[in-house]
Amino acid sequence: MYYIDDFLALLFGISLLIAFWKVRTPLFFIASGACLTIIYSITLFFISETKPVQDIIFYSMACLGCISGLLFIRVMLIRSISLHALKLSNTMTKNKKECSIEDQLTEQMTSEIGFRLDDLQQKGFATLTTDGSGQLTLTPKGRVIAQLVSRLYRAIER
Amino acid sequence: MDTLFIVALTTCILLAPIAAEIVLKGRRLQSNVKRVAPLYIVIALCCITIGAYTHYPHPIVIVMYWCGYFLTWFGIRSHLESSILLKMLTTLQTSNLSRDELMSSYLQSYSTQSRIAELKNSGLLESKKGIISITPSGEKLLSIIDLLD
Repeated sequence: MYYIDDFLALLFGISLLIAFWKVRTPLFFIASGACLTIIYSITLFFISETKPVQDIIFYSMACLGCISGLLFIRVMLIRSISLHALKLSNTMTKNKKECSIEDQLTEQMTSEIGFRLDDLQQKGFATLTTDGSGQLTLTPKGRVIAQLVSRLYRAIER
Repeated sequence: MDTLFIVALTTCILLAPIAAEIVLKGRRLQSNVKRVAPLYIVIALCCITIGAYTHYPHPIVIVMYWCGYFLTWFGIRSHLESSILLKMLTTLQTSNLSRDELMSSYLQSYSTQSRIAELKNSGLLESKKGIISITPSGEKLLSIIDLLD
């Protein structure tokens, strides 16, 4: 009796997975995911058996959850150093290179940390101290986020 | 929407991450997904059962909702434990540091060796005669990643 709802949900899920596979840039993926959710919600409203607004909100939340989850996975695929280590090891095993992956990985980690240090200042989380010592200190915005994150760390590292 | 279903879903949403933390016991999520995934599947099945009982029979929608929830939780949790930027923010909370000091502090807390050890622990890398190589399960994971990357 609710086949249309299930069919539409399945169709949305498949479309989102195709978008995830084809659209590699996070920003474009967000845009395509948002378009899909809007199309899905409008279609639900007009043709499905689910008419109450709260049901449509629930369905749309499911869509947004999938989009945000896949977005995190995409960012992880782009940035993860451990995944890079795995790729590096695979390439070296295939090429039968016997040099240590540790050196190459340390090099990559150092450059990645350098980028994050730049981000820290560019995003306004930290700034150079005024005494000219070249040290970094947290801005008020950075301090608020740091407090929140350290609380979360305490919760997950227990 | 049925009130019982909303209550059940909210309970499941709150219960799942707490139960996952109990299962993980402070271990890293990325190398322990196998421990957590069955837990989320069981809770999703409970949700679907309650959905069927309360005549809210949209199993695919519930599965989709749950997949989204799991992926979001997984993303946030693993981002928290491996984000370089967040780690640096908490390091700066205790004292002011220069770029070099901050970099060496991060590398001390999460070095290359510890990353490799973690990959070995999760069975993705192995050490043969002192040479680090990829395991078959690591190759499988990479083939999936290659499809998406």
